[in-house]
Amino acid sequence: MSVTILTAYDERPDGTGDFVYRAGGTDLQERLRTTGATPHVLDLTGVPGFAGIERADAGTTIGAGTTVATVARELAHDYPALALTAAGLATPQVRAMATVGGNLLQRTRCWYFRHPHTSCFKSGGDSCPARDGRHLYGNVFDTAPCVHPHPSSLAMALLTYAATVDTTQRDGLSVGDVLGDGSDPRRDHLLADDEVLTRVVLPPPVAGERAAYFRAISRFEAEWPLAEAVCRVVRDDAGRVTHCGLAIGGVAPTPLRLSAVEDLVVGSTLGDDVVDAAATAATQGASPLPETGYKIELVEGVVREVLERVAS
Amino acid sequence: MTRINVTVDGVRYSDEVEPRTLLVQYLREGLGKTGTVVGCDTSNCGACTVHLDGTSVKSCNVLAVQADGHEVTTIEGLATDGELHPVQRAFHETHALQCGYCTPGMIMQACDLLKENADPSEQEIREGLEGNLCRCTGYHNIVKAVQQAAKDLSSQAVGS
Ligand SMILES: Cc1cc2nc3c(=O)[nH]c(=O)nc-3n(C[C@H](O)[C@H](O)[C@H](O)COP(=O)(O)OP(=O)(O)OC[C@H]3O[C@@H](n4cnc5c(N)ncnc54)[C@H](O)[C@@H]3O)c2cc1C
Ligand code: SF4
Ligand code: FES
Ligand code: FES
Repeated sequence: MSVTILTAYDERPDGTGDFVYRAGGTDLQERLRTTGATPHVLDLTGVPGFAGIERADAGTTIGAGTTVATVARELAHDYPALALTAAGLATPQVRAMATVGGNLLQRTRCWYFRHPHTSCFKSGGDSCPARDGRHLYGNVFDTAPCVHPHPSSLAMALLTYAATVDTTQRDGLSVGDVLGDGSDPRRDHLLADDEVLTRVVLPPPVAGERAAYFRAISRFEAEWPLAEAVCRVVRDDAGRVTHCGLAIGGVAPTPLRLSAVEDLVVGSTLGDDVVDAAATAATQGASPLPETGYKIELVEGVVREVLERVAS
Repeated sequence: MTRINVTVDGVRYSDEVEPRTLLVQYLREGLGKTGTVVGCDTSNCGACTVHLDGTSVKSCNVLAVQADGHEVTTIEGLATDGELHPVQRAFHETHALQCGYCTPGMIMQACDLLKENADPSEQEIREGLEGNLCRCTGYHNIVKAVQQAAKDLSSQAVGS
């Protein structure tokens, strides 16, 4: 394996054959080690402008190389739903290295995918051994051939802001454009091999936004959540919700923005009856696998928790 | 091979390393700094935590070449003139270890935590240490050690 610290996104050192980009390396490094792959590693962290947050009237731009810890710290006031999610994911050491771009483009955490001796859709094979095998951490919305949820917590939070993503080849992609819908089980994201995610663009901050993030976790096995939810609301002087963004993760091929639940919440004062109805509605359409039925209750629970937190 | 210049525990080193060498391998095998240990090798356990320019990172997840031009502090660099660092002393005094395997990483993470927050609550200590796993202690005495270190450090700061 060789490593080049790039100074421009399109720089290709002599003899670059197979290559992968690296940002913080918190996902990539472990995969290279367990699979024994030895591609040329092109490290993006030396490219000017890769990291950093810029604020303008039109919105806020987060360089793809900005760390999760920086997002948690610097956007806490203006984009609390995103910042709380960033502060709640992984662990302090990981947040210090992990980047926003890498978070969106990290590969699935499925055991079979990461095992050097099994193959599946996502590692070049043509089946999903988890579907008939073990899928305790799998989807509860089983809508795709691969049964493991998308791992990105930040993608979930960015959905609630309708953030867009720029790459070296395309501008203004939605989070959905980047992650796809899971129908191609080989992919965790739809960027080309030579396409670099350069920045995430958020709309201008909304005054008075209140937000909450909550995850159900089995610390014993992993730090990725079994189910997670994030919610942001704006309320008028009478306490009535004028805007709501609500999304869940850890349960479907991609994080899900729950527009129908948002509609229930908007216009209400977030009373108990609305929170109850919203928590139930969040599980609408769930289609659990044999081992993932327990996640229905978790989805209800995390959605209830974030709504109660923004209501209080 | 790539040449790196890195300061480790206050000493400057210039070495040729394979690009794939992990920082933890360089520290242990290259420099003989075996105080930093490997627990899992998959960035989960935190045993290998060191400071890179003052921020705690898992050295099994950083390549040695990424440390080029930077400053690394390991558990071996915390004591000064043979005097244990207050966090080390607190771990010793409150029996915050049994087998001791997690301790180097736990202490490095605790130092980072106390640098960010000089007076953490129990909950904040537990959250700050969530990237470090301990199989022996049940964490109770580790939390006590960090509380004691926080007190010692603040009285030191007042005294100086
Ligand atoms: C113990 C632990 C717990 C975790 N828990 C969570 C969690 O709860 N929620 C969560 O969301 N994440 C979690 N993570 C994952 C972590 O957030 C990701 O590993 C991290 O965000 C990836 O960012 P990185 O910069 O390190 O990416 P890298 O490892 O450098 O890269 C990840 C992938 O993206 C590609 N890539 C990176 N940046 C770019 C770019 N700009 N353009 C094109 N390709 C790029 C790389 O080629 C690679 O395939 C956890 C990780 C660990 C180790
Ligand atoms: S296809 Fe998806 S769920 Fe199935 S084994 Fe591969 S990664 Fe796991
Ligand atoms: S050895 Fe580095 S995190 Fe476990
Ligand atoms: S003391 Fe044994 S792992 Fe922590």
